[in-house]
Amino acid sequence: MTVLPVAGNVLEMLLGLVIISDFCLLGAERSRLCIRLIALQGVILGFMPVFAAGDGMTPWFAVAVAVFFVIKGGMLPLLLWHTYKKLHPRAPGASYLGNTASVLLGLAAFAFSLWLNSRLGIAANHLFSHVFPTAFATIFSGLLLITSRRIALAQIFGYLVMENGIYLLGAPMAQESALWLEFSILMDILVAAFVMGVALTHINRAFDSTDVECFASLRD
Amino acid sequence: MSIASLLLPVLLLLPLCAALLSWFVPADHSRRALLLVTATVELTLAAACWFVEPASLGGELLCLDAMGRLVLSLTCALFFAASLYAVPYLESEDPGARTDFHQGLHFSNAPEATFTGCMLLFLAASVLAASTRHVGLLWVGIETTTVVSAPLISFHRHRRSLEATWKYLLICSVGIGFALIGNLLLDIAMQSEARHVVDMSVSSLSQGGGHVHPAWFKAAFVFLLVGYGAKMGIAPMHTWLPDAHSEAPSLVSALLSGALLNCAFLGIFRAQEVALSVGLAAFTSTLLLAFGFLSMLVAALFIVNLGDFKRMLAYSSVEHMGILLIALGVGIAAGRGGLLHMAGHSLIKAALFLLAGNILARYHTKSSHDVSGMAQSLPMTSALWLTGIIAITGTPPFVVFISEFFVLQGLLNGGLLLPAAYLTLLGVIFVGMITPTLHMCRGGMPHDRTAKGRENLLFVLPSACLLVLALALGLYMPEWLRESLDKAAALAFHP
Repeated sequence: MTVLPVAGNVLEMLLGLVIISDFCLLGAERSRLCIRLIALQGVILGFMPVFAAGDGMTPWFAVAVAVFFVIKGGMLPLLLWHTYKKLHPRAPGASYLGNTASVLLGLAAFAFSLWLNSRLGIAANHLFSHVFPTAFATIFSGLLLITSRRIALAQIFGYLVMENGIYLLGAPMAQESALWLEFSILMDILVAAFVMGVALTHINRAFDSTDVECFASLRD
Repeated sequence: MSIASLLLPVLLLLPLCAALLSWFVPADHSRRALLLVTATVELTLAAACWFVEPASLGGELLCLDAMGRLVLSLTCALFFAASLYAVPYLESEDPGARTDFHQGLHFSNAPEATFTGCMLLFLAASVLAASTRHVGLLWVGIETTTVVSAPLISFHRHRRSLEATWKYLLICSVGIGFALIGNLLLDIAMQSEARHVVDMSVSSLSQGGGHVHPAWFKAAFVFLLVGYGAKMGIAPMHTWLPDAHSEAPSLVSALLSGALLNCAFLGIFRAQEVALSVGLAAFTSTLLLAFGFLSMLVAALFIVNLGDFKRMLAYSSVEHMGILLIALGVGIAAGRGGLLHMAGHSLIKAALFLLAGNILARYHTKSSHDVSGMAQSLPMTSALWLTGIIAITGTPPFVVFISEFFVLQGLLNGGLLLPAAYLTLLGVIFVGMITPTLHMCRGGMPHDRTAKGRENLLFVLPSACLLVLALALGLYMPEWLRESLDKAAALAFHP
């Protein structure tokens, strides 16, 4: 599997945008900005299977890509927005580590993933080596958001960013015969985000807050 | 169309349709009847799979092998027991505002339609996980069990159950995300210049052994083990398990412990199946043994003096999942024992969680220090509770004793250190569980607990049936079951 030069340039540009959005997410405190950044990532990632298809794009594949695009770039951010609107009070998603330290950790993870990519013997899928550093850094950013943020909504952001990274990692393996599987996985993530949103609404009602420090009653 | 070709689609579609229907049924009693009827039909169909080999569909997309059949049968049996329990349980639940006996705060239950619908969806997802040999579809099945079981845990919408639900959702979703990374790395490990497109069915992956890239495969296995291990409650990713099991309604805890953990184990079992065929079982077995012993150790450390009987059962699940991993790591010498252990743990633990619900309903506390005199206040529950604890701690003649003995036998092949550690940890856990149990059953009722009344037979019958089954398996194993266990063990337990 090879990437054409023009497509390669576009791919590099899109991957660059994903990385920049990762850093912005790590530095952002306001939930509205985070939701917009996740929507941007979703829109970019919606295009990714096109690069895997190359010149073998069929109408069926194009329809499937359009559906993925709508789910990732539209439905998931809308779901987040809907959950955000229901929460009172809307506390800022400050990080335990501090925003600068979070961004620096994200940068370090990206540098590490570039180094790791140069060391790994990638078997046969050349597109995989293109996306690997960005995907790795995005997964790391997601995990960092989950573990370092004080509000539960930011943990949903982290989960979705992590899933974006995984989606990016899997994009080079996209094939028409397995689109049903990608669709199933995406639907699972959509439902998971929905269930998390519902749970968060109930948590907000019961605790009058979504600060994760309130979750301390269950201990041994 | 033959019965064989219909079995798997019907097993999958029936609970799915029933779940959708349950949201449209207006009356609660009709919904409960729907739950019970679906559970009965599913159990009958699962039993039929032992007599009629179900036809596969789409290669290995829907394909029931010996291991899948065992998991499917256990899931349907436990679901039937939980449904029997659910009928009087849901009837006794007050739909209005209630007071949490622990914190004194007001809360209300989730709608019963949501509860019943999610239970049926959980069954459908578990059936899907059991009846596929495609690692991608297996992931979808296991992830779906997480998503649909979360509303079950927070049925009582009080602070503790919501906290437990959040932890469960987050840890298991991240864990299952790791398992997805594992699947992708597995794909990469199997790709070669001549083989770009990899069929992710277990047999196809196993046949690609000649092209496997060992470093990528090892990375894939680590991600799969950590990911599915988090869902299975393996230490150190187990932290959601005691919270979710203790805060969920007891029949949900029974399903989580008896059925959900098996589905997650199935994910690791399939990965080990591929590892065995590509010749990397030595690496994976070491990891399995390490995580297995760590889980037993964590369970032993926490179970002593725990003071909360539902959390005690949860930590016991961590222990038994550890034993399952140890059996898988030991290999074929512990093969039959390992799978028998899975069955024994499911039956006994589900029974114990259902009984824990009875105790909680009568005493309004989860503290084992505050419960005493059960022999007088809840005679049937007390007798079964004591029997269940004796059974789960590996006392003869119950099935867990036989299975733990098999695992010990397998460990003895590799020196004395591991068997000694294994026996010590089993001993500590035995003492840690028996001591509070005796306190709970003996003595008089506490003065502030005056509630009396006869026990509802429907609340003890499911547990009694499950324990009788666990006893029967310990006393006698029919030849057909022995053969089936050996066949399943040969898939992933290395020689």
